[in-house]
Amino acid sequence: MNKALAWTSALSAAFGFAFGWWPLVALSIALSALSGLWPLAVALGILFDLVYGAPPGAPALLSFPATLAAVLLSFLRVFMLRYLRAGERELRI
Amino acid sequence: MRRRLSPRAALLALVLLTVFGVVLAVRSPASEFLWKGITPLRSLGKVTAALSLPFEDTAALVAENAKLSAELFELRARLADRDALSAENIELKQMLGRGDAGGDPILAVVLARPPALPYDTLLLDVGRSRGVAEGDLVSAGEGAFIGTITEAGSSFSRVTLFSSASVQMEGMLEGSVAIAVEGEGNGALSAEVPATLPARVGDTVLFPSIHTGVAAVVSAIDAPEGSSFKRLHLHLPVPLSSLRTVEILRGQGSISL
Repeated sequence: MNKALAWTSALSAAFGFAFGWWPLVALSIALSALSGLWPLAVALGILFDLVYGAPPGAPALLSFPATLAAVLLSFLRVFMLRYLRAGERELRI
Repeated sequence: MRRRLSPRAALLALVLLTVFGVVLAVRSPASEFLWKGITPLRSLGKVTAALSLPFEDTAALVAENAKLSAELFELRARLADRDALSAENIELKQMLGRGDAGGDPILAVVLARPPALPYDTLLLDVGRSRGVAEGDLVSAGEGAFIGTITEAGSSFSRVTLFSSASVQMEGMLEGSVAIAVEGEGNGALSAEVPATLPARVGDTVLFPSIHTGVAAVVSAIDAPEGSSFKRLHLHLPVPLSSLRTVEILRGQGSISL
């Protein structure tokens, strides 16, 4: 399952980069981060930031916004899973 | 009790930090390398799209061609007058010791533009090797300023458009009233001005520089009744989709985006 998802994310990101559909790349980053494929998400985030640069204005301080988003989404997944498992344990008790 | 960071998590954090450090150090050359790989692929995509165009619209194309030729003829006549005035303007500035200081502009081809790029930026095919530097002004030609260079690699550069979201700049409405303009993305800008300020659709916002140039054009006015302010909706002087080449004016930027 994870392997298929990794290939889907990587391929859709490659299409996004090649044909200028950057929202597809952003979607691939979010999909891989939320499904636990954090190395792929971080790698795609770094590629996104290298290809498209930093946003102008105040957000430029982030320097690597897509990579940061990938890391944050990966952490979000970990915390969500922990919360759900804790709830499950409480229900069993 | 304080929880200690596990060795595995510490190693992971160290690896991530090292990767970020390396990427940050080689950001510009890496970006250039990636674009060199992406550009041929994107050209292939454009060729495929062109081949899939229908051929049955020939009559419509002929009619459009005739209409555009007529418009071009009319615009050429107007431009002749404008060129004379521009030459006179430059001559007067040179007489007063304020001629073009940066030398000849650099012609650059637009490799990518919105919506293929996020953040309202353009990617150009010239960089530091041709004398491009961060902060240089970018013009779409004929004094239509559109943005400034915010990243200059050795053979590529990135332009941040004035319409980019979170970009703020000063402009002169019809060359006489200073207004604060902010970008909204996709070639659109806006400005809040007093309701009593005379402004009409089609008015120009000039770039605050010795070099006369239009930075935006008023496209709509939102004036709620009873309000002491009204909002001007503006757009860049040229549509982004029509940009094929731009001019880079060296050492003349006055806005850091």
